[in-house]
Amino acid sequence: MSLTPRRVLLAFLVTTFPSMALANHSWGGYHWARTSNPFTLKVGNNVNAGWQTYFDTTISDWSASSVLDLNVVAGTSNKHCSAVTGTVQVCNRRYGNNGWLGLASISITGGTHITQGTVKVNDTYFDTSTYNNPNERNHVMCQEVGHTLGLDHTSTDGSSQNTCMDYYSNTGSNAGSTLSTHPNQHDYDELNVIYSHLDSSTTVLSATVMPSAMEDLLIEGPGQWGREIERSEDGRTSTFELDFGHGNRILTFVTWADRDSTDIPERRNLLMR
Amino acid sequence: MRMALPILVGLCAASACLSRGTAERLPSLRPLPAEELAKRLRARGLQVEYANAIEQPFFAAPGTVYTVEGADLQIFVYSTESAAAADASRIAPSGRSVGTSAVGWIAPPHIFRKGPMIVIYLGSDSRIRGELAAALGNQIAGAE
Repeated sequence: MSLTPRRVLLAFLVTTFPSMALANHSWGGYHWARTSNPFTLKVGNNVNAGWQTYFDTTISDWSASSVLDLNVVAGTSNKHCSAVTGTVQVCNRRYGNNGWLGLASISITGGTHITQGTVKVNDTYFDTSTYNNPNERNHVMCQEVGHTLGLDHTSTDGSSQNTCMDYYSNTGSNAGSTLSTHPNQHDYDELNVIYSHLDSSTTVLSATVMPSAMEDLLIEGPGQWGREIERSEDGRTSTFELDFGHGNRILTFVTWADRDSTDIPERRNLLMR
Repeated sequence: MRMALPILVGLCAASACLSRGTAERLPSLRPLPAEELAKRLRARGLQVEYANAIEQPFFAAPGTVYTVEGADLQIFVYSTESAAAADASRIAPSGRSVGTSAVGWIAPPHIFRKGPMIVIYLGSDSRIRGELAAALGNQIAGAE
């Protein structure tokens, strides 16, 4: 066999960066934009006591990555697990007989930059004996959060590569197996590849520049929305501003229900800086 | 008998009127596509039961879940073929993600599209897969 330049280069890459050469399960190139590494990503904890252990394990597992840390904050999502800009919100609920154990959704800007993510684990299934075991819970929680970091599955044939990003099922005769319940080195290597570059801006809600008073804020009613700075001519919509100084603001967009209706107004919050 | 004839004529007239009127008001009255597929599978000897209505956050159309030999069959019927094609185009070849949603299915997904319909079979039964392929064409995404 002759050593063509391409083969020499491949041999160099494999021997020099053995693990990086194997890492190849980026999800569409999606990643959080940030200007430095390691970066800290806030994860909203919206899970109940039944999921807390698995949530904590997942946070610890992914934070072992050398390029990112997951910082748990109080969940700010609602019963629909709505996304919150710059964060990942993790929720559990009985989402119904819809065929999925877990669902990870991300929003994208600029083609590949993740701006927000949500993870839902479905108690419609996890409350049944088929799925209700620690290994399956760890597997699914770990995998769905991994997706929000930009990782795809390592395989889909049902075999175990001993990573939570594979499609092994820890159910039935495998219920007692701890295979595939955590990330493996391949996943950390892939994260290194995905986040090896830096971006000129960030989509991550900053853990340091946002005033602490803005964290974990419950904005339940007009009393917490600040001052009204804008109102439509018909009075149906308003914008409120809560100013924390130094350009940090929470804007609340309100669409009022009919005045004689008992419905609560529809509103959207936007953190501004 | 004198009384029966007018009543009979009246009933016939009412029946004809109702029949013609219904046809005019509901020109597309026929079994829904999802139920047509279910009937076809039943006719092939498969045990098919209605389970529940469904809405997937990553699809624009509502759907219906049937169980086929105990496994889930999700059928989404769109208002137009192009709408179904648009959602189908967002499904990854593996069937494990749709757009920017990654889906942890309870069983291997096999996804089909025919006309305005997207059909997801969650299971591995080769007979069911064969019957779906016969009815809907080859799967467009999903497990091998």
